[in-house]
Amino acid sequence: MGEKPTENVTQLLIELSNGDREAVDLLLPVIYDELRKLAANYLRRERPDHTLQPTALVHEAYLRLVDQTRANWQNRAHFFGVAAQIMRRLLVDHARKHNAEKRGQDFQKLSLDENIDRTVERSAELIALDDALKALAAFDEQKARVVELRYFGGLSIEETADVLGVATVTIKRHWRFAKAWLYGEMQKK
Amino acid sequence: MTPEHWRQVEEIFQAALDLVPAERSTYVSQACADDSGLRRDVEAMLSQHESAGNLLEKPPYGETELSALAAMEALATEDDGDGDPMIGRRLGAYSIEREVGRGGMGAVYEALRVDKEFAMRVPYPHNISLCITSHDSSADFMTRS
Repeated sequence: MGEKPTENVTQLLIELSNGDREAVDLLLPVIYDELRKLAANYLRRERPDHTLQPTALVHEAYLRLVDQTRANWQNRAHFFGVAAQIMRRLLVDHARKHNAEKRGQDFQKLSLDENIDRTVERSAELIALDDALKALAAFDEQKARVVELRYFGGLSIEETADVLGVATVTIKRHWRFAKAWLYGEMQKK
Repeated sequence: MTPEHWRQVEEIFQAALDLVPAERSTYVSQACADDSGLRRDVEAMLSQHESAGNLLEKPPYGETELSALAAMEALATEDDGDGDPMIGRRLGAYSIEREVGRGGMGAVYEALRVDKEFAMRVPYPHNISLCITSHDSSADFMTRS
């Protein structure tokens, strides 16, 4: 196994959790690489574990990448916040790329099953959501963070409350406003 | 729309939802007073709350025949370049490895049998060519000698 650039990755993750969201651009190739290996390993097993969530892979991927002594993971909000961001970027970048390629192609003909069509639809929805989330973050960062943690990070209401250090009822209120607002924003497209 | 505006909208929105439905519109009228812009946004938000339904309730990576893990692998491998959504997909016991040709009928892919039981019976992975036709949505399996 080759050398892992843990120094660099750790530094980038620190920058990321200090609020520098652009650090994720530099991190992504490294994370993707690790994710690919992990996913490939799980799939080549005799019976792939269908219950394992992709978010677990994201967590595992950068646990492997990070020098635990330097990155301060006492703050669980860091860990889950970063994981959710990475997951969001992974899915949205894929959706944007997918969407750009399919424009102009008659994708209907190539459908081997319904699932490909649904994938195309899903891509458009994800892109719309990502745009809407950016707009939400412009006036209410906390709500955007809640949505990112829950939808991309896979956290429950209770887990989100725990990670952010607020009451469950607060998260519920953030969530219901955010859902309504994002729905309205996405309808505009 | 300023953050302050949305804070006002939210305050009334949340308070209205804490009331029983019958009391909401009276409350909203009172709370918004003469501010028609505020009222418009609050009412829109309340309507959207009703309509939003299942939005964001299902995970973004679910629901295909592929396991969530296979979807993740497809995501990760697509980044390598040709962007063909077929590459890396699992079809039954086969994993689609690469495109080997393209014709009038569709694309021909090389697929690898990843069924472990099968692999035990032959010393090498059994490669097949998979012809995916574009007009009848069927896959014809052709074995390669």
